Formats: sequence, C-alpha cells, structure tokens
Amino acid sequence: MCGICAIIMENNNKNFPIGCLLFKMMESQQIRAQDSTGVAIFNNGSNKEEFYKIDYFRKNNGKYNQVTEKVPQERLDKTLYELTQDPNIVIASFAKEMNLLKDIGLVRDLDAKYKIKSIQGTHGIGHLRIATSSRVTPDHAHPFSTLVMPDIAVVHNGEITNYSKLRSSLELQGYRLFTRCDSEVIAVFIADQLLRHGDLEKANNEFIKKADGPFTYIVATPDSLALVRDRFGARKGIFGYNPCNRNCPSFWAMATDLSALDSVGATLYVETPPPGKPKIFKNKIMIEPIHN
Amino acid sequence: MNDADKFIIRKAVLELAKTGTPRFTSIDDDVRNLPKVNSKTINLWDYVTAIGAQLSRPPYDPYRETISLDISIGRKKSRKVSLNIPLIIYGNIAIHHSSLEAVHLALNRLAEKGNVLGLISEIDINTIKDNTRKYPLFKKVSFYKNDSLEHYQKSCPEGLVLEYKDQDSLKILQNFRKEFDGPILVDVSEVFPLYTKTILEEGADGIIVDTDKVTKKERYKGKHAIAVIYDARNAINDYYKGREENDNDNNTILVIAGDVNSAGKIVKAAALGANVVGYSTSMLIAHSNMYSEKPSNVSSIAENVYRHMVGTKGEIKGIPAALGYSDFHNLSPSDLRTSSIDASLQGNIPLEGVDRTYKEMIDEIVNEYVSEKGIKLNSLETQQILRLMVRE
Amino acid sequence: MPYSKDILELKRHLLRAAESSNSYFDLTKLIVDVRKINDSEIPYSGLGARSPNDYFPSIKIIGSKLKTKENDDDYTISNNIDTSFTLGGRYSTNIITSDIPFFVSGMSYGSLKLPAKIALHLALNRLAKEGIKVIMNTGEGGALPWELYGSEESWSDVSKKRHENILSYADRLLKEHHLESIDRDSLFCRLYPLITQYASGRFWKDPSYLLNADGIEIKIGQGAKIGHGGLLPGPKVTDLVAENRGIPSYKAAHSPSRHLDILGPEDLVAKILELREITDWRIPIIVKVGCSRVYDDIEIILKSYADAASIDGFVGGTGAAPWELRDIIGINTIPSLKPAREAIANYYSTDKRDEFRLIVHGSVWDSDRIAKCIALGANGVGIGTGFLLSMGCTLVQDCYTNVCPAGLTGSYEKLDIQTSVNGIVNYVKGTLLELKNIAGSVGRKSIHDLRREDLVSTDELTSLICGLPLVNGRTFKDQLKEMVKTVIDKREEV
Repeated sequence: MCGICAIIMENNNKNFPIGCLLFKMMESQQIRAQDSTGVAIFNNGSNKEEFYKIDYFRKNNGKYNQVTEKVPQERLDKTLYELTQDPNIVIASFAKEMNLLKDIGLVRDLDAKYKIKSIQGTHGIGHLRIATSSRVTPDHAHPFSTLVMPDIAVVHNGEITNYSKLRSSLELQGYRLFTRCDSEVIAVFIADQLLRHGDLEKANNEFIKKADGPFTYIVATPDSLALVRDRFGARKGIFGYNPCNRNCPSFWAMATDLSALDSVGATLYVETPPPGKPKIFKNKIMIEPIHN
Repeated sequence: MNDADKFIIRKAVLELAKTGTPRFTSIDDDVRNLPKVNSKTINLWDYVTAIGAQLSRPPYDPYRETISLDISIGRKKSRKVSLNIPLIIYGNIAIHHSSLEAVHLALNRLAEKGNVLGLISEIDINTIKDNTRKYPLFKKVSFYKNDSLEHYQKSCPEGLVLEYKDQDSLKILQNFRKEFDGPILVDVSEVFPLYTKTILEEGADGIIVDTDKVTKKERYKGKHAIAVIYDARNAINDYYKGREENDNDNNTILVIAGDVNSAGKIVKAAALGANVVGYSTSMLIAHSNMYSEKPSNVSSIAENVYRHMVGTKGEIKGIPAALGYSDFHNLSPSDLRTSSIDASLQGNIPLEGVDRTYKEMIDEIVNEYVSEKGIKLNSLETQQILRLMVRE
Repeated sequence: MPYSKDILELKRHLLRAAESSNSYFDLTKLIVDVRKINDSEIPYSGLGARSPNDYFPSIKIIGSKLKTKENDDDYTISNNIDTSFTLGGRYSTNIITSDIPFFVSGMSYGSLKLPAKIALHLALNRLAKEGIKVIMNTGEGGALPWELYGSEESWSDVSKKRHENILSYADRLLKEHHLESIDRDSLFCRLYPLITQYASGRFWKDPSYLLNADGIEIKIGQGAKIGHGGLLPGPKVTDLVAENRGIPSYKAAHSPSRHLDILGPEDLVAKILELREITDWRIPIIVKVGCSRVYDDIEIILKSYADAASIDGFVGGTGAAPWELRDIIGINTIPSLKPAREAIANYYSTDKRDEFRLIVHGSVWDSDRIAKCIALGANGVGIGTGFLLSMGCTLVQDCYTNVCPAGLTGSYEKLDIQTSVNGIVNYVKGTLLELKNIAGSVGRKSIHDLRREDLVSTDELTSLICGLPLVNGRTFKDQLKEMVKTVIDKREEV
C-alpha cells in the first residue's frame, strides 16, 4: 500500500467536482505507487432512485470481468445471499449513494475510463497502490467496500499483521470476505461495528484495539470521513484545510504525504492526528439564508 | 553448525587459505559422507522457523515500543485471572518444599514489578513462611483424594487445575464448576484427544495438554509436540464452530506444557495455537539446587529464578516484535515455515520457499490429475486419497 | 567461551537435574538458561544459526569437478572461463565489475577489530593488483578512512583541516592496535570497488561515505537477526569505534529494527530516489533483506528503482544476535532462491530490462556452494564467514565478546596481518580456480551459464522445494504424481 487521500467539503456543498481535487492529489504521488488506483465519491443524498448498485468482478480463467447490477429493495436480500455463495465473484462496490471506481494502472488511466475529474460530490477518498503482500489484480485495488452494509469505503496504507485472526473471527460470525487483501478486513469490521451501534468513532476505536501492525486508513460513510492511525503511528497521515476562495468552497483534505496537500492548496491548520485517536470529519449542514 | 560440520568447514577453507589451489572434495561432499544423524535424537522443533518482518511488513522495536504479552484467563461466566506474561509455572519434577518456596518468592518479586505469571501447584502454599501471594495460584486438585471444594479453597486459589482421567473426573468438574467462580483448567494429557468437547461444554475455562505425556501414549507414538498442539487447537476451534459465542470473547485458553521450555519453542507453540505455556524451567532451576555440592539458601535460588524469568521475558518480547506484531497473542500459524515434510504434516505448517503445506501440494497434484482425466471425486473420496498419499 | 566457574557449576547442576527429570529439556541449550540466570539479560551469540537442514549437501552439480588433471582435454583450464560479475545499469549510469562472482559481505568495523579489517583491505588491494577485482562491503559501522579516501581524486574536495582530522584519526586507529609501522601510502589506496552499507543506525558522519562509494547497499535487515536491528554490545564500542560511528562509547549500540524513515514500500521508493539524487544517478543501489517473505520483498524492491536485491538466509553469520531470535527467525538460503527468481520473472514479463541482479548470502562458504547458488538463479554471492575462516576463525561463536581465539572480533593482538592477507588471497584464488573448473567440467564457458538443469537433488524435500530431479531423473513431484495416478486408477477399476 502507499498513498491515500481524501477531500471533504466543509459545508454540505453538493455537486462540487471533488473528483478533480482527488485526481490532483493522486497525480502528485503517482511516482511512488503505480500498481493500481481507485476512488470512492459521495454526493450526500443525491441518489433519488430507490435501487442499490452492486459492482463485482467475475473471475474467468485469470481474467476479471466487471459486472454492475442494479437491485431494487425487494430483491436485495436474495441477491446479497447469492453473491455471498458464489466462489467466482469478488465484490467491488455495494452502494446506494456512493460512486466507487477502481482498476489496475495509473490514475490517469482511471480518469480516461471513468472521467473521474468530472465526478461531483460532497466528499471522497482515493488510493494509489504498490502491492506489499497480495497480487496486483483489479479486485485487490482500493477502496474496499463490503456487502455487510452499503456505502462504506475504506482506503488503507499499511499492513494488518493479525489479518488472519481478524478474518477468521469475522468469518465465524458469518461474514464473507472475497479477497486475500488485508484492507478488506477493515471495511467488514467497521461495517459490522456500525450495524451494532452506529457510532463511527467507537467502531474505529475498537479496530485500533484489535488490529496489530502499522496502518493509516480513511473510512468513508455517506456523511463523514474518519482518518485513523494505529497505536504507534507507524504510518504517516496528515490533514489540512483550504479556506474558501474564488475557485471553491472551503474543504478539508487528508493524505499520506504533505506534498499531496500542497497540490490542492490545503495548507492551513496542517496537523497529524495523534496515534490511536481517530479524527472524524462530518459534512456540516449548510443553513440556507432566508429570503425576504 | 554442529561440531562435525564446523570441523569440515574449517578444514576446507583452511586448506584453500594455505595452498590457494583447488581441493579434491567440497564441503558438501564431506558433509554428505558423514554418518546419518539418528532420527531419534532429532527434535522436530529445530526444523520449524518463523518468518520475520522486513519490507512487506515492518518489524516493531522491542527496545523502544511496547510489546504486549498480557492475557486474560476465564470465560464469560468466570472471574478473570490476568497474566502479564503468558507463562504458568508448571513442573512434573518432584518438588522439594524449599524449591517451591524459592519459586514463590521469585514470582512475588516479578509480580511486584508488573510481571505477573501463574503457578500450578498441588503443595499447600500455606506451609511457606511468608505466604502472601501477589501472583495467581492454580491449585491442582488431587484425583485420588475425594476432597471437597472447601479443602482446596483454604489456599484461596485464583483458579483450579483438574486432572481428567475418566467419568469420575467429569463429576468432579461438574461439582466444582457449580461452586467455584474462578477459572478451572482441565489437564487432559491422560485422555487426549478425547473428551475435549464434553469438558468445554461443562464450562471449563481451558485445557492443559502436556506434550511429553501425550507423545508417550499409543495414539501419538512417533509424533512430536507439534502434532499435539495442532490437534489441541483444532479441538477447541471445532467446539466453537457454528456456536453463538465467538471464541475471541470467551477466552478459552489452551495451555501447552512439555517440550516448550525455551523462548523459541514458546513462540512456535504460540504460533501453532497455544495461548499460555506451562513452563518448567523455573522449577528445574529451583530444583537443581539439590544437585549442588554446596546448596544455596532459598533467597539466592529465588534470585536465580527471578533473573532467568526477566531474561526469558525479554526474549519472548523480542521475537514477536521481529515478526511484526505488537502483541504476542497475534502470532499465527501462517508465520511458521518448516524444512521437514513430517513437521508440515503434523502441524499443517507451510514448507519454506514454496509457502504451501505438504498436504496442499498433494492436493494440487490430485486436483490436476483429476481435472486432466475428467474424473469427478466427492470430498470424502478426495480425503481418502490424501490420507493414502500422505501415509506413503 | 571463557565462562566463569560459577556459570559452569550452575550448568552442571542444571544438567544433572534435567537428566534425572521425567520432562524433556534440551540439554544443548541449557547454557542459554544459565546465562539468563547469571545476568537476567537476553543472551547473545555470534556467527550463524544451526539449521539441521540447509539443503546444500542435498544438491549435486552433475559431473562437476573442483580439481583439474593436467593434460586433460575435457576441461578448459584457467583463463577461458568467464567468472566476472557486473552490478548496476538498471537505473545507475555506472556499472561495478568484479572478476569473481563472490565478494566480501558486510562485516563492520566494531564487530571486527581493526587488524582484520586492514587484512581484508590489503588482501583485496593485492588481488586487484594481480588482476582479480573483488567487491567489499563496509558493513554497518561506517567506513575506515583509507576505504573512503583511497585515491588522489577522493581528496580533491577535502579542506586542509578535514584532511588533517582524517589522517589523525587514522593514526590513532593504527596506534591503538600497534600498527603505526604500516606504510600510509599503500594503506590509503583502494584498488577494489567499495559498497557502503546504509543501515538503520546511520553510523557515519562524513558525506563521502555515500559520495565516494562505488555502490550503496540499503540494509533493511540481515539473515541472522531478521526484524532486529544491528547490534554491537557495549564492551566492543571502544572510543575509536564510537568516534567512527558518532555514538557514545561503551554503551550497547542497538540500531532501530527498521529505518525510521522507511516504513513502507512507498518510503523505500522515496529513499532510493533521494539517494539517487545525492549521487547523481551514478552509482548502483542494492537493497538487502533477510530471507523471510522473499517473493513479496523482492517484488517491492523491483518496483523501487533499485539496481539489485540481496537476500540473506537465516543461517548467515553475525557479530552479535540474541541467541533464540537468531535461531528461529527466517528461512534457509536455498529455498529462497526460487521465489526470488519467480518474483523477478513475473515482473519482467511486462518490462524488458534484465540488469536487475540477485545477490545471495548465508552459509555459502566454498566454490561448490557458490556454483549451486548461481545455477539456481543468483547472479552473485556474498561471503562473510568464509573470509573470517581464511583468516583463522575457529568458529567458537564468541564474536560478541572481546575475546576471540583468532584475533578477529576480539583479542586483536593475536592476529598476524601478513598471514591473514595471504590466507584471504589464497582463499579467493583457490575458490576462483575451483569455480572455473566446475564450469569447465560441466562444459560451460561462463560460471553464469550454470543452470538448474545441471543440478540434481539427493533427497525428496530438496527436490520438492527446489523443483530439481532426483538421481533417477524424475522430480519428487513426478513420483507423487505417479502415486496419485496409481491410487486413483485403482479406485476407478473397482
């Protein structure tokens, strides 16, 4: 793993081209990690339709074919069950509002395929990967999503060294993990915690307690982002602020490296969260001015 | 390098260093001609190593970062016992009273410094002069005396150890479980691998398996501690499969004793699935005073036991850190590799270099042949074939 | 080991108690327990771990001979066989060439006493004069003055004051070891390529450590103590050693387990790019790891702009390592070669370069072993203990103390430099001749033309792990396939 980044509008500004800012941050770090790339962008409350979107890869003779299914509420449980039982598929994204795109290659390749720069939203996360312990295939690219709960995305820099213990404990509870990549475990764990009590900070604290190894990750939900570092702070992670100016409203940016923050002008209040203490960012509801 | 190898290596290089001309035979030619090592004296542990952290995961630094060794014993319903070091002093050695006193003093001193270990004993600690304990005692219940729980509670033990021999032991376990709220560990070495499920169902907080005893029995003849630990861990995991409670919340512990009396073996046993190790060297040190021409007094022996344990703690902190873990209990079987087919079979340990267990390699060969020939085998038949292959 | 009487007595009592007990105790390891009783410290040991199976004796090179007979037509004698080794060129503009495919592994000044380091230096100079260039690695503890300033041009940017300081330090070094009579001109002369080691302790103060080097080796770890940083026990950190390293004297030097600025693969990329900038992309950069997760580590190194990767088996030697940690962490040298080669092959399926080099260390002591490593895929081999042996090492494994029967890692007054120089020169020449004979007797023109096909294994495990055929021509895997076929076909009949 390698480079993570995220942007969240300070006020709930919908329809801002977040994808463009994420692209800039990722391009600035590209030289360090070139195996695969991915983004997950949220446009708070923008999905007016009532269906769920499930993206997955179907494995066929070493090739990965991407499939998208639009599933209405009434068919959801059955579809989720079928997908969980199928050994040849790997989930890429389970979403109602989130737009998750990932593939092997560089970020500019991803942009050519999906036009990332023009995707609008209130917040989003991005990732550049250099593989450390699993293969370079599209299903191992970040962000990771999970069938446990829609609209959860995780990008991760580091290693979860007790991955097999965490994985078997989640599998014992009945959850299916589709890849051998340790980052997937974060998504499933956090989703499981949110199902139990809904508190993102508590979920992250539980993970910090249980997980071993150096890691910094960002988890995104429909209304918030959390930047989390392990107990020892063994991997970098910083955030900074860009105040409102002519070009864009104010926003917070998170990244592995300072140069990524520089690339989007998020150079105020630059701070690194203390190890073991998650830093949560939420979209503030912008209060509409009352017209006289 | 053992001594025979050292001699060959030195001879070879010194010959080159003296003459600068080629030799007749190489080091490996000479080593190959050495008489074969008697397989009885080989300890399979020597063929098992752990893979360390380098680039794909970074190591931790035990001198500068906190490495946790803490463990809590006791399932949901029991009162918990916490240890700072996952060792319980265990001894099949005939214990002289003064040896036990020395160990007691050492354990107290360790506990004062925040290094709490446990002690298993059948001797009454109350006979020691200063018998205040700062460490948890697991009182061993004697099978032959039909004593009631009150008898054992006189020593105020934090936990009990019950030796399981037969159906009568089950009754004792059931009775004690009703009345004793601390952890009860059941020593199943006499009956292993039977009864594990029953014992856990009756509410035992953990099982103790002495690999020395088990490998002397018929069922494990010719096998090594590795097989015993692997089977014990599987027995506990099987018990939890499909049950509501998750093992992680329940803290059922596996205590392994026997051939685990050095830091390296403690780590390997923990990686295979032991939660706590029944450690006998401390008792050995205390007892060795009996063999001295000028026996020392109790407090010097206690000092020896104390210093030895401090050194051992340093060792078992350093090794997980070098494997990339900040918590000793995160060691897992995927960290082990072996250079012996036998060890791979006994403990399901991957072979070094190929990173697959011997069984997985046979599995691959079987699957390849089966799909080549278009034969369909159900899982039972596959299992039978694997068993046949492995026995050859 | 000069153990005190008390320690030996304790050991004796422990031994008797263990022998009469019903429980199993490893009697050969009781000394470890006794040392912990003595000082409550983690006991150290020197040199390499004992691996009951290090695979080398189970491999044979078919038809190879170490010695030639005169007037034998089958073998091409001496000069015709190519044994050279090149390093660099993948990203660096310079290429280091050595006339032999093996070189001196990193053994630091501090763990080795000065006379041993001087012997290596003078021996390599002599070999270079005779036309055999051998690469030397400085080891973790910084470089000695004559290694960095061994030519006219290396002094060109040095101020007069610094020049004086360097010479004064050299004088003090030689004085401490009663070697003032050595001729300075022949000492301050380096005719062989030098690779400086960039380890987590960062034990140098002089920028010429990186700028005057012919190559840089970033040491992530070494085979003997994988996951543990470099270690020099307190009594060995003399004032002069401390001065060279920039640390306080007589305090144990524990290097950090990991580079504090290389926490992940992206940091390694950044570090290598930084070093490339400092050295103008001139010199080759190697990354050294201990053999553990070989495939993954080599994959990361391939993506990180390095010119070569160096892997060190867990039986590799060291000056000091915690005993148990040394013995149980890591995998053997031979099994590491296959995954390393696979990682390189998989990477190059998409990229056409082939200047990436794989170097191997870890109990490779003689030509036969070097040839086997090369046949299994290594490009070059690092030898440490072998060179110590050629200087008289007696393998007592007390390197972490100041007492050494050969005068290499302690008791420096015992080492006779001239004899050691002769020993090293003969060792290199003899090994080189043997390598040529091996290649020639197998019918190859270059040592690097030795292939897996030239090897055969004498036991099933080696055949399985290395993919080599057994003496009957079939691999163990083939034999297993036959067995599977028999078993399944029998069932089908029923």
